[in-house]
Amino acid sequence: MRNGTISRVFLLALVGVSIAAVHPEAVLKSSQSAVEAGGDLQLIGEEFGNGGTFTLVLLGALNEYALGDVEADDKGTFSIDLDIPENVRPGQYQLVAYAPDGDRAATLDVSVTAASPAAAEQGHDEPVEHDENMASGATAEEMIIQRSTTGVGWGVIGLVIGLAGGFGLALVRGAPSIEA
Amino acid sequence: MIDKFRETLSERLALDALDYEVPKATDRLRYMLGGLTAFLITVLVVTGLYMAQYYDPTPRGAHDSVLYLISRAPLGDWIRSLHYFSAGGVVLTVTAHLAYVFWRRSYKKPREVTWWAGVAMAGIIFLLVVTGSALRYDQEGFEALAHFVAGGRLTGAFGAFFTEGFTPSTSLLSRIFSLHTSLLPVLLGSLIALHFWLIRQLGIHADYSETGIFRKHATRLAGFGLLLFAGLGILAVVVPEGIGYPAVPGVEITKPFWPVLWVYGLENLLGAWGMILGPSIVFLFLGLVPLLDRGEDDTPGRHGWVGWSGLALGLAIVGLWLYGVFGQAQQHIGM
Repeated sequence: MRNGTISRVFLLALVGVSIAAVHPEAVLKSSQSAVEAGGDLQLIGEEFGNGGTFTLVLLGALNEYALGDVEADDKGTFSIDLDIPENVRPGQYQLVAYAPDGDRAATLDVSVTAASPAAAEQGHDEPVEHDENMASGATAEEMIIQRSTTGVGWGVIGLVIGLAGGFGLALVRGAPSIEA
Repeated sequence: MIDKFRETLSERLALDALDYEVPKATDRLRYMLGGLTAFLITVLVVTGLYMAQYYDPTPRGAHDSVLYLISRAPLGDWIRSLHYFSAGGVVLTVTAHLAYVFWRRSYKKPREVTWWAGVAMAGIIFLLVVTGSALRYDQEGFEALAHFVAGGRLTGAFGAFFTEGFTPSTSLLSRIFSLHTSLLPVLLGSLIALHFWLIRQLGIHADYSETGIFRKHATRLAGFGLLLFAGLGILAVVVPEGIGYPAVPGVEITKPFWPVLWVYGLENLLGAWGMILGPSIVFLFLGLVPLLDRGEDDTPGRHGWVGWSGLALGLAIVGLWLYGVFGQAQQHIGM
């Protein structure tokens, strides 16, 4: 019994060490905390194992933008000027470097600010997707948004409302008077 | 089986302590308005805690994080709408509770402190409503923040906290978020505890010739609370709360959350000072009520001039609210 427990703990520790060896403490660094949409972000990668190809993705609350691949050398480092697409919505993002196996190797918090008018005017064959209301100015109107509730979600909501209503009715009807 | 479980639960949680006498009148819904307010505050705390897990209280991330909550977070859209309607519900129940207690003159000796604690709670709920409406950080939320800044500047040192110059280390939005989620709820919780303790010690201002048991009153109250919750839950499904577009600074084109529309109406008449004077006059009057209506007689509705003043103030609020609802949107703070 006791030997079995020790074996299991040892096995778990071994698995943990193996995971750490495959994905060491890779780090993404930048001297910039914010970057303009359409601008460049100076990005440094360190301790990316023995090198290899990593995929960079900008993850936001609503959108994600694939920024291409980056090659780390055999010391596990790289340094690049990363192009931030002009159509990135201003906001707070997480820049994620994905290992070839799909694991997150490293992340960096990045703020993206609105493109300057000069940058926005430069060479755009395709019109950038944007919101008419934002372009024309302020509005008191509400946004039309895709809401999150799924079929399971509706089921849970229905159950919660049903239980609350049912119990509520039972308690009110079960105690019609407070008299002792 | 159920009786055995109930007995065990009652023994372990000392629920017998709840078997004290309360007036039979507490059977009625109008005596449950305070309890229903407490119930809705619990709903607000739970839904607020959930939303806080997704909210980014920075100017750059706030609007996006609310969009995320609506469009991606599990049940986020419904929980946010439930929070919104519960906030409106609390305003209604607390106003009705205050009005009924005022009419019954339950603020008279020895219940002055109970009344003051209640008035302070109503003030905190008002602040929670206005700070909460700023957090959405759309055009309406941004303009609410701009009103904090304008109000802060008008009141000098008193309002310094609400100005951007208070500290450069964090944004006003972050400080309003912390006010909404920590300081104000802690104050509210402490006052609720004081209010309940005083009610327990001093009793309810009603006829004790016919009595019942508090535990049964609480059971009935919980039933009404759950029915209210179910109703608000359905409302949150049928009319989910939306969000406006990201704010464009320097313009003032929206109207505030409906409980604040009476202040908006006053701003239409007095300009930015309306947001300071309106709530100050109302809460000053409410605070002074026990000092103005003195004497032994506590017959409901016989307040004399204090009652007429309260009625006039109430009607003025209703009038200003209607003006706020139906009047044209106006600029008040010269953004």
